[in-house]
Amino acid sequence: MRKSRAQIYDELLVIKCQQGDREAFNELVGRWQKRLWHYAYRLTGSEPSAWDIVQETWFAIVKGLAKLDDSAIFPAWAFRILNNKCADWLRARHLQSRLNDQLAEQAQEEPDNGQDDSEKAESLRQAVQRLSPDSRALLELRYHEGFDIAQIAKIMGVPEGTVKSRLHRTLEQLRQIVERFENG
Amino acid sequence: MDNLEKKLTELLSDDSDLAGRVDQAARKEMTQMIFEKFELDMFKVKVVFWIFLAVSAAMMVGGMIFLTQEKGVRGMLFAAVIALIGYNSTILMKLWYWVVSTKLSILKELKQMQLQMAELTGKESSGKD
Repeated sequence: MRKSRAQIYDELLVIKCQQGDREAFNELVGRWQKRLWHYAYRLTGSEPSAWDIVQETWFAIVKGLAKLDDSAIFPAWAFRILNNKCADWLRARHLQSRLNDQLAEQAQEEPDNGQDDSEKAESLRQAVQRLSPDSRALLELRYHEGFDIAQIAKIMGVPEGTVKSRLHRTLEQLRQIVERFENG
Repeated sequence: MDNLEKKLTELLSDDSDLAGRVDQAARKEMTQMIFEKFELDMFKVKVVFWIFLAVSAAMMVGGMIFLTQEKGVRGMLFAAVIALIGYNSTILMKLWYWVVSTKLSILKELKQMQLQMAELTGKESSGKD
């Protein structure tokens, strides 16, 4: 697979950081901080918590950067750390069970009739928000960050087959909700 | 990619709802803290390296001095072993440092070359267009 210029540049920055280059590290933080924060914010829904999680993630990245053998895996590695930190945070807040309850409630709710495209998009957004954090993380990684199945498997620490089946299940779940909205 | 997947990609790629939420002050403060942590870690690695090297060198020199001054066979053997351990540790540390720095330098050169090639390829394809 051909790498983009941005990917190669990120790899170069990682190598420079491993050599102790301060400017390269500053640039790497600048390039990745926003993406990491957005992911953390989408999962936690809390701005200060997202900052705390991203900060902890960067500390872990600094600690483990020297041991990273292949600079090409930096994105997946960084997101794996972030994903684990988010999972810890969610576990601590018991959000998982609460969101699952919300999802069950949502499935029972009757959708409104006569929605236009923007309302449909909003319905989809709400449906995504009501998914479990794991499913939301999966969708974010696949459709926002653009990671492939193998990379997502590494980030989430599960086999590729599990990622495929979870993704399929999540899409089916969403499809059903969207169909219900569309059919009224 | 089916219709739902396309819609999802559009929806999740739309960061407009988050654009105003990024607190620039918090971001700047956090960047500073991360940078300080990076500098501290780099400093720690250097300190550990030099301490290890100094201890190894001290073992080597101390062992040699004891070896020349010691009269008994057991004492001489002990001093020789210490000197050898120190000597080997010094060599191994320098070798490790050389291997790691050479590996990183080569990788850096390779990536720079890859980047230049990617830029040239990009220019060429845009030129053709």
